[in-house]
Amino acid sequence: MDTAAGEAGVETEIPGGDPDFASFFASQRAGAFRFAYVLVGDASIAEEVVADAFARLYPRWRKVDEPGPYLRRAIVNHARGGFRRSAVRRRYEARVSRSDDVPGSDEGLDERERVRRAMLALPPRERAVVALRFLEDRSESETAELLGIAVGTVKSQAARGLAHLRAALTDEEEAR
Amino acid sequence: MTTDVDRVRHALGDLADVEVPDSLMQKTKRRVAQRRRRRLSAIAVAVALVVAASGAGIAAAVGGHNDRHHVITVEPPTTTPLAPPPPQALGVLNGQLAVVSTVNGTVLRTLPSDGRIVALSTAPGARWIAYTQTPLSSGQRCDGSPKLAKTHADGTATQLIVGATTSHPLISPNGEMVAYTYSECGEPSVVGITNLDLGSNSLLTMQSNTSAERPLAWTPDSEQLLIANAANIYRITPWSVGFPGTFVSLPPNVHAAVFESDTVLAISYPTSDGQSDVLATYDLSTKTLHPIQTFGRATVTTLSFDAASKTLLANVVGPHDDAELVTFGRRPSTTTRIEGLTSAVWYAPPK
Repeated sequence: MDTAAGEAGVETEIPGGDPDFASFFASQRAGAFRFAYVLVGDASIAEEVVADAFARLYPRWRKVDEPGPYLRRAIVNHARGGFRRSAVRRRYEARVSRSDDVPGSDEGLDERERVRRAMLALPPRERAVVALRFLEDRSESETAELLGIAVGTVKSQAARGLAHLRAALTDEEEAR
Repeated sequence: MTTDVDRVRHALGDLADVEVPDSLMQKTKRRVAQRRRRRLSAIAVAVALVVAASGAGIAAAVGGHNDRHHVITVEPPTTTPLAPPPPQALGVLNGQLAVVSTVNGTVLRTLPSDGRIVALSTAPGARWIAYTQTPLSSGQRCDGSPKLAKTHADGTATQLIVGATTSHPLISPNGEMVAYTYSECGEPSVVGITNLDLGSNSLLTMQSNTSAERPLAWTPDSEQLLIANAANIYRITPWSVGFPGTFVSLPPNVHAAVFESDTVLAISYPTSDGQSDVLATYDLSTKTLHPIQTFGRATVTTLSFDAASKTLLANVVGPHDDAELVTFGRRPSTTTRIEGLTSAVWYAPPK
């Protein structure tokens, strides 16, 4: 069986049998999965999204200059609504609708769940901007290039997203 | 002192502190393998079609030019058995959606709509039909210009998709998405993509006004889209990421296009004198053009491809709205006359 050194020295099998792609997969899978999880708020959906994004990248692996941004962009686009499998879509919609509970339903939730719900309440593009800027610490210009939008749009969407998340955290503090 | 940004960073870091599932590797491997199989299958189809196209080109050359009423018979080498082509096409007839027989040209039925249909698209097995029509109900932006709507494959549950001026609706081969060009009341055209089930929209690119009237074409895996980039220059772009993609140079004024495989594109374009229309395949891997047939004093308005039977359907319209549906594939080519049919695509709704 083909293997390659993964993160923390873990040996991983090679998707597609390409050692370079396997190294890329091993180095990126954790970050990609966590990024996707923050976007979709569900581990099983994040797994589907990330697996699809890697599989889309694979045939273009030798042609893409910067596979990292390509992978992130594929994840963002999938998370935005490109779910192909209806079961995944149903789970996603059910999860999103649960996050749209009536006001006040956040009482008693821990900070992590509050932030998860606050993220899911953001429009998809704004969510991606927040995740790239404040989870992955990417610069405004890097975020703009990756999402194909203007730097000014990144600034405004990041500010709106930040205010929304700040409010969720503040509500929690006040509730204590 | 902790700033708001630091607090949000910390909170997002906590949220993202999830364990990566062990199954991610296996899931990714399965997805990669699935895509490989699809790609290999598409390559096999491409080889078969190049053989068929070569045969058709020879037949057209021998049969002569400008012979659109003559049924050209192509007998490529027999390989694996294929499904027969769908017996029906969906077309625009007198401004209505009409289901027609590709066998004898009979109009089987019309589907309901509340406007005059301009252009349509569906794909074999697709649950949706997308079309532009004018006018819809009043109060829409740019009243009088074509708007994009969708309906179930059986003609029920019509719904407006885009209220701006739209053209070139094109449903993906997997039936899930529709691509189209649209403009806001005379603004430069843009290529948009809508997921027909979810209703989510993506913006693929800006197009200049000059290139906006060029056709779109989905790759067989529904992953990439051929769009006009400039005069005679097209690019094949992965729709989900919108990266630049591959540039392709085609003959001037291509006005219909459809992928037959990952590497073979069927196109139609006018001859240099503008009097006739050429139907050809373009091999993307070798960058070679293979003319199939020249239609004298007629225009190929739509091209549609059925992957199951590997059969191309061309709707050819003459100067007096006399139309013909012509098929090209592994089986002998056929020609069916249907007066007034302005466009047509294969129609095989899910059972």
